[in-house]
Amino acid sequence: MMRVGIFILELFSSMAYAEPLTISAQDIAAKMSSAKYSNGFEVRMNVFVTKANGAHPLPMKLAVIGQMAADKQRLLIRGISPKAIRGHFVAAERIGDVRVIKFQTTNNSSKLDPYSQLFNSGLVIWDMFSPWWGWSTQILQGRERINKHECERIHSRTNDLRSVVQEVESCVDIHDRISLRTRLYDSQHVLLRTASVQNFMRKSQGLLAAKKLTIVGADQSKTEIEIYSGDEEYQVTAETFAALEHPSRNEQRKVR
Amino acid sequence: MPILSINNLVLHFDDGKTRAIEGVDLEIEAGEFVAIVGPSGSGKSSLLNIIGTLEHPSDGEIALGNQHYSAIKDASLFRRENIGFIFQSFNLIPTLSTLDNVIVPTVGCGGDAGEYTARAESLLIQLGLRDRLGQFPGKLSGGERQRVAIARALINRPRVILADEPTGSLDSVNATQVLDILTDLVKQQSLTLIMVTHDATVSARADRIIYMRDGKIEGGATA
Amino acid sequence: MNLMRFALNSLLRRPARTILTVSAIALGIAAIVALTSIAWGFEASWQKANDARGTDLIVTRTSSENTMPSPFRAEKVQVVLRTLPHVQEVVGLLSELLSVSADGPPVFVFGWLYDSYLWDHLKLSQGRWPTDDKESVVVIGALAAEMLNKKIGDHVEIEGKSFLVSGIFESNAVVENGAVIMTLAQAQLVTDKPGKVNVLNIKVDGSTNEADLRHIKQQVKQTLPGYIAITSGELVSKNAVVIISKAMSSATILIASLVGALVVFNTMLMSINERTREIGILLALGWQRITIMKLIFSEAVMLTVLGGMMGIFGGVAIAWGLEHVELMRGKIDALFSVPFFFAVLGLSVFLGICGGIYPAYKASRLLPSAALRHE
Repeated sequence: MMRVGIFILELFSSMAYAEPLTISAQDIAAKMSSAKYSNGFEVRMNVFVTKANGAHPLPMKLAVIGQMAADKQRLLIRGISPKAIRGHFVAAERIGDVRVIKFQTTNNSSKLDPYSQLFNSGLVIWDMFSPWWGWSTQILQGRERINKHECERIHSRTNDLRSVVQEVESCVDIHDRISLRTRLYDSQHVLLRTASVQNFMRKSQGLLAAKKLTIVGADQSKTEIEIYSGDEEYQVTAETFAALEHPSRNEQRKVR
Repeated sequence: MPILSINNLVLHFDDGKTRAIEGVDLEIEAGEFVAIVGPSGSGKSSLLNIIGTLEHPSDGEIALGNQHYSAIKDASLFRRENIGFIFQSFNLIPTLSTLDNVIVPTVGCGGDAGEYTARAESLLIQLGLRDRLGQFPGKLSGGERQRVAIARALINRPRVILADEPTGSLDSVNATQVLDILTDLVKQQSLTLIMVTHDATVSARADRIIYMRDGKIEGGATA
Repeated sequence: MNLMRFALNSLLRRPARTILTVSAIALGIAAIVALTSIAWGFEASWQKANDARGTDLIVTRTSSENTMPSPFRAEKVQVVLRTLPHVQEVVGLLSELLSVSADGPPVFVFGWLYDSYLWDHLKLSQGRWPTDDKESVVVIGALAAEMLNKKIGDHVEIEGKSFLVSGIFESNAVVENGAVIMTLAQAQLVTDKPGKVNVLNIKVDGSTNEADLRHIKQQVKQTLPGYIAITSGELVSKNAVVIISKAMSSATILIASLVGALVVFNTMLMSINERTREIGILLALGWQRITIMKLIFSEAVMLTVLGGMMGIFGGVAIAWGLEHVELMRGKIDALFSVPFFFAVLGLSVFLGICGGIYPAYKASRLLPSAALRHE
């Protein structure tokens, strides 16, 4: 009864009295950047794709290992199932720009476009680093309510003309440091894709993370991602990101 | 001593706008059959209702035997122990059998259920309904239904029977039959019968006729 | 003819309304019975699983709202726990909810330390246990074998790795019966959690009493910040699914009770309005006001008792049906008890009384003369 009463009070107070924001867009962006920092994490996810024509490729299971710090961020993505992607790896690194390689054995990797889709899903590797939180232009655009969460709309813009994604609109729950909805646009302000969080899980530090996420592409294809297992304190070893640290001859040849 | 004494009885409705009874004085002896006649709206039924404690008078005094109505704590209990009602439209419960309809007034008052059942059966047999004990009111004729109603009115051995147009819904043959039964029973059990009626042939059977008009007793006649 | 028969007769006189009212109450009671029994059953099953294993205390991370406790490195915590008084054995396990077949729902996959006491209570009905902790085999519960349509010699794919089904077992706990079990080493390998568990099971010696258990819990709290030692009952009660299912059951009880009382209230009120003249006749015939009230209450209670009884049968049927639905098999084990049924019936009666209060009062206040004039 108490909880119901408190909920109703909160509802009315949020409607009747909107607290003015005392934090800047830049600060929010900084908080969002640092919310990802981790010495090592591992998540396992189910990925369901619905193509623009309504077709459903086989559902995928992926394992993602990550290590995120202010100066360097790394991801290692492994295909678990179906057989077509089993044993296939994608490793990505962001030190300034995003570099992505794919391989099955570490000594035979090849470069991959950071803006390419992961295993033909709507999940774009570049997006997984959320680089827009490091962009210089961050503008607050107002408040919204998504799935009973209050969020602040933030418009991020880059000066880097090489970037395929030029603008990003996020709706951020500042308290839990999670973007409930993220829209990515190109240089002509054409919407490239929208990522929306459907379900949450709470991390051991108390912040929220997305448990279920949907990405809708410009062609209306849909990718649903659901986390089913994870480890927030994954032990990253010297071998984990070896493929990134020792570029194969294939990769080196292309670089030259 | 009269069984029923009424002094200066007054009944108003709607804050005095409707004056149903205007100062009625009446005494009825035990065992008397009194017919109250008068045009519609004369206050006959209202008078009956007050006697039956279904209505409270606005003023005046009324007593049944030694019991002053103003001192009655539980009107329902008083009614059950002293008064039996017979209505014009029988008012039987259609989904209860004849026997069960007669027993209805005894429900909820404790006592021996078996004894009530036996009494009800005896009354119905007396009233010529031996073969109708298990029947439902829908299968009975008008006269039979009113006989069931009479039995129901007598089940608690009341002192007074109040009958409001008991033959009003019956044809002349049934009406005569019912009246015969009623008057015989009343005489046998030394009951007082107060009946409201429009029917002159019915009122002619009474020991006394009281005429009412505009809420007052205009006069009377004795048999 | 007595009051109860009269009340029953009144209800039977309006069969359509009586049936509708009873059905509405039955539905509400059925929902209460089904959800509550499932919530209790789920809790009991998890508890049974731990109790069956002979575990006295469980140590996990003090996790938030997620379904499974967070994994942690076993060795650091085990070392500390083994030093505590009365602690006889400390055995780790990993439990996950993973999909094991392409089209089936996820099942519980347990990784148990090879050759530990955790395996002792299981009854092998076919095949064999793993021979060592490196063997890529699984044993599956009888219910899991049925759900997955697997037999000895078949393979299951878990996280991209193929495991041979070497044995089929039976357990008292439905959670285990619907599960797949492998050695802890294999579970750690396949989920990429080397050296990690999410639960440490503690067995204490025979001389341990309640005070000693409390002391162990206190020691864990003091020496291992971020960890908690709890009994299996306490662990189960913290389980998010248990909490959610209990909350749903409580919400259902509240809503169904409210609806039930309102349905009875509406029915009785309508009934009185239609029977105004009849009530006037009863009053004229000498029925006391208290008897009229008793009549209305009797009718209300009859409706709710009948609805309650039907609802109990319906709830049992719904729970049984849900237990056999593909998605739920092996995960729920509804728990019924006679005292529970009586409590539900008691709730029904209470609803009848609540719903009948005002109508009974209203009926008893009718003026006989006015009621008799009613058409």
